[in-house]
Parts: sequence; C-alpha cells; structure tokens
Amino acid sequence: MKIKVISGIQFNLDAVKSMSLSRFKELYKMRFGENTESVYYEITGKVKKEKPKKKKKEEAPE
Amino acid sequence: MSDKNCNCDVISLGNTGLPDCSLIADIAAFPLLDMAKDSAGAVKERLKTDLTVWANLEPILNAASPLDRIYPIGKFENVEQNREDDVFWTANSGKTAFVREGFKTFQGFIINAPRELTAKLNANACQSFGFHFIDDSNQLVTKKGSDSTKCKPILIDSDTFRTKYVEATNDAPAMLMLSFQWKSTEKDADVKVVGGLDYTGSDLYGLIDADATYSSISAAGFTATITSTCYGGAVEGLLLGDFTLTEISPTPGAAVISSVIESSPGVYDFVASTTSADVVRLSASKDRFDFSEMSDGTNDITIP
Repeated sequence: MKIKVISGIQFNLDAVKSMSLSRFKELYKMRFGENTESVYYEITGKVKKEKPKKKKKEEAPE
Repeated sequence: MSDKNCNCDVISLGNTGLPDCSLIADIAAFPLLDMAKDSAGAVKERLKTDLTVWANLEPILNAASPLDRIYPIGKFENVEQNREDDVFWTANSGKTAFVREGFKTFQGFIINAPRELTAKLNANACQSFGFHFIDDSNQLVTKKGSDSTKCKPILIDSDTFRTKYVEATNDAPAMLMLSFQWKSTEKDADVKVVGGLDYTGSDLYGLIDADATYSSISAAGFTATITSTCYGGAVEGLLLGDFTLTEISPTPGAAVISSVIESSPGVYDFVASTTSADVVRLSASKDRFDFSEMSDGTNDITIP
C-alpha cells in the first residue's frame, strides 16, 4: 500500500486516486476547508484543468 | 523430573568418559513459555536455530496462532530449582530400596511486575505446556528433540503452576512469584544447553492484548479507540498499513480505508468507503501486540 502523509493524515494513495474530486470534498471538506481541492491534487498528482477564459468581445468598430 | 530407568540392554556398566568441554547450564533467568503441542496437534518440536537466532525467534514471538507462539515472561531473580528427597522404602531388616526420585521444583521472582500479569499467568494453569530458558550466561536451556538440530519445551506439571503477587514492603519491592513442579517424566539427562545466541534475554518480549471501541460511526468513516485490554494504556503509533478493514455483510470482502489519523494517543479517525447498513470489521497487526480481540466478531461496526 502506498501512503502519503499530509497534515498528519495517512492517505491510501490508490484509494484517493480512484476517488473523484467531489467525493474527496465530501469526505475531507471539514478537515481541510478551502484547501481541500489543492490537497486532492497534491495527493493524486493530477493536474487541475483550468477552465478556458472567455475572450472579451471585440469592441464594435466605430 | 524422575530417573528410575535401568538400561537392561547391556550387561556391563555404561561408559563414563567426559568431553574436554561441555556447556553447563547457569541459573535460569528468562523463561520462555511454550505449548506442548503445535497448532497442527503434533508434539512441539522446534529447530534450535529458531530459538538461538533473533531473526528466527521474533516472528515466533509474534506468531498468529497462540499455539505456535513463544511467551517470554521476564527476568527472574532468586531462582531455585530444588529436588525433593528421593523416596526409599525401608524393609524391617533396615535395608532400603529406591522407589522414585523426588519431584524437582522451580521458584523465582519477577521484580516490579504488574499485578495483572498474575492473572494472565494463572489462566495458563489448565494448559499443557513447558519452558525453555535463557540462563544467566546467555545460553539456551531446552530439551533434546528427535535429532541434534531440534529441541522441545521441558514440560511442567500444570497442576502445580502458580503465580502469586507479593506486595512491596519497607525493604523489598513488589514482586511476582512463580512456582511449579517439572513433570515427573522429564529427565535431567535430556536437558540440553545451547550457546551462540545472537540476542540477550532483555530483547525478549511478550505480546500485549489490545481491543478497540468505536464512535462517530457514519458512512464516511469511524473513530477507533485502541487500548490494552489488560493494562488499559493507549496503543499508540499504529500506521495505515497496520490496519485491515473487511466487510462482513452484506457483501463479504475487503473494504478500502482511504485515510487514518491518530488524533490523540490511541484514537484513530478512519475515512473508509462504506455504505449505510454495512457491517465491517477492523483488524490490525503489529509486532508486540495481539489484536485478536479486536477482530473476533464480537466487536463489528454497523454503519448507520
């Protein structure tokens, strides 16, 4: 079993990797608060997908 | 121990030559309790190297089956192994004839042993078992086996096995006194001394029984408070890899522990993948502890 320790919690790496972010938040939001998402990405090594920014509408030519 | 046997196979006396050097047992210091039979029901016989090499012995101290385990008790002081007077019959003429050897007894004290150990040891009195010893010269004292590489426990008469707690006085510490008689069938000549141990008696340890109580049980996890059942102390320092979670019902099989943290000494907060109405069983394994009470089926966790 691969284990990663964060803030004293011993995580089962395989178990967390097979867990969705939303499920992880359900289980650990109370403990990690706003940092829950970043903890998830630190444990799993997954890369957070940035949503593409919407391009500003080009101003109409005068 | 009794030795009334006469060798009728020869018509002469036995030879009495002595080797230039032989190991002589010193005072018994560290008794190693060993069951008379193993978990397969066979007469217990061990390789001598299992008792002289620490890498072989430590797994036996932690053996999963209690019948295969060896149980060190501690360092004994003031050990006396006396043989009662032999029994002779006296004819009216005054001639005497040997009837039997006197029983050989053991008595020793462990200083500052916890009084709970008295009850633990006395509970063994209905079992069939014996001892190996580490003596004061760090030699193994045992009984010869079926060949020169093997040994057996020296059996005791369990009817005579008794421990007493001796309270402290102004000039003596509290002690635990152990006494018993060796089984009358055990012969002094069968006791063997083995040298070359790569550990000392101080390295030996017996297991501590541990059990858990559960709280904060939900589908997201539970809290287990793990303590020594006999002595009450918290069992600290367990790691995620020491635990196993098993679903008992409705779908028997392995359950996954996602994480654990020791939130305070002996208190472990688990996050695990369970669902409502599941019955799961937590078990653990770590040297120096026996967690069998935790996973004996009397203490399963029902997820609300």
